[in-house]
Amino acid sequence: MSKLILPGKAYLILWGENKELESQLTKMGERIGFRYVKVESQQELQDSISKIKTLVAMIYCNDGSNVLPMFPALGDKFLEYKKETSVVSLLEHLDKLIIKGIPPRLTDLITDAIKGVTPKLLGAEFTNLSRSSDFSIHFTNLITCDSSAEAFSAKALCKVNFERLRHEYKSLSQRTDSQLIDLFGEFCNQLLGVINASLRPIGLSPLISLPIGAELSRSGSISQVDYMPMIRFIDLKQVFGVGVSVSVGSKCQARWNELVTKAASGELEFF
Amino acid sequence: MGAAVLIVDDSEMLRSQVRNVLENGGFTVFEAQNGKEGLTKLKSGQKVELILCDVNMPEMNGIDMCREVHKDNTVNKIPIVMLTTEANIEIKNAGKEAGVIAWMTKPVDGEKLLLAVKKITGRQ
Repeated sequence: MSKLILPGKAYLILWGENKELESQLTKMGERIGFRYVKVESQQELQDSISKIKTLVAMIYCNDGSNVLPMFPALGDKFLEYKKETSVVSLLEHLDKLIIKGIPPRLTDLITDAIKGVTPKLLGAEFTNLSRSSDFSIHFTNLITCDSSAEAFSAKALCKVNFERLRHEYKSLSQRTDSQLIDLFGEFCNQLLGVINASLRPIGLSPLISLPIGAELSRSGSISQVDYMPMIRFIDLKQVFGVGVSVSVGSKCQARWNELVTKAASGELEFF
Repeated sequence: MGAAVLIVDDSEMLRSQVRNVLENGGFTVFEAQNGKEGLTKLKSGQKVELILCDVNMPEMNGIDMCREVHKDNTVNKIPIVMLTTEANIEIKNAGKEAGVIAWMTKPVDGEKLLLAVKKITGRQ
């Protein structure tokens, strides 16, 4: 019999007992946006898996007393957790697995776009970004912007602690909340614009939405972000995080092997 | 006084950035935060020699504003340059049909923008 699986959600399946791992998966799921479900038999696994829209991974806790079951259909989404494995290394591996859903050249494009647009829009002080698998900074505001084409969608997302941002970055110290929402909204918008400029030559022409800003104190649920693979960067002072998540559908016809990053240079075209 | 430019964009930060570039280049700048406000400014009799306009804006988007400008004989000679992250070919074509003369993609390069504005307004 299947576990209760909600439609449209991303799930991780856990087979076996490990309290520390379960606690960490709960936190990771809240942060990235997946749920985990425990199964206890092959039948329960098969029944559950057939109802899951997006499977993040399946972790099999092997205490050595059972013969390791084989799940060739899961490919590298099948992870074995042994007693001697550390939970931290398993979670790091899991994070890499999630990122793997993004074509490698798109990962490079997103990275270049974030590094290029950030100092241009936010100021020269913001060159201290580093790639992070942990996006759980204490933020007060969330600003997002979407971009979508057939079988492809991307979301740029900023998590910012406005008070600490004003304190840590002199160039922004006088900005009001609404000015900061405006700034980060434009930042998300331009980030997606720069990414899209490189996607057009490979056959994708996504449209960009208007940015949306939300304040955590007014809406407790905004910390829940739907699961998609995401490239994340956090500034050294941990007051600002930017991520771009993408969803590439199986029908997406983009020629990823031809993807080349175009510099963000304010191109002008006369008609 | 230099030529007057109307910048229509919902981002205050972007308007301020463009204003700085253009005022330093000797231009006078007027601002509107969406297409509707842009039309009101144009119809108020304010002499404008160039419109810089974003595409995605609340209330009235840039393409709809351009269509309205295109229909109005009192303002449809004013050149319009789109200044936007949007470069979807269908949207560009819609802009072209609505009288847009050039398309500039963000992020804004101040030097390129100033050169383009000088060229279009004949202030080179």
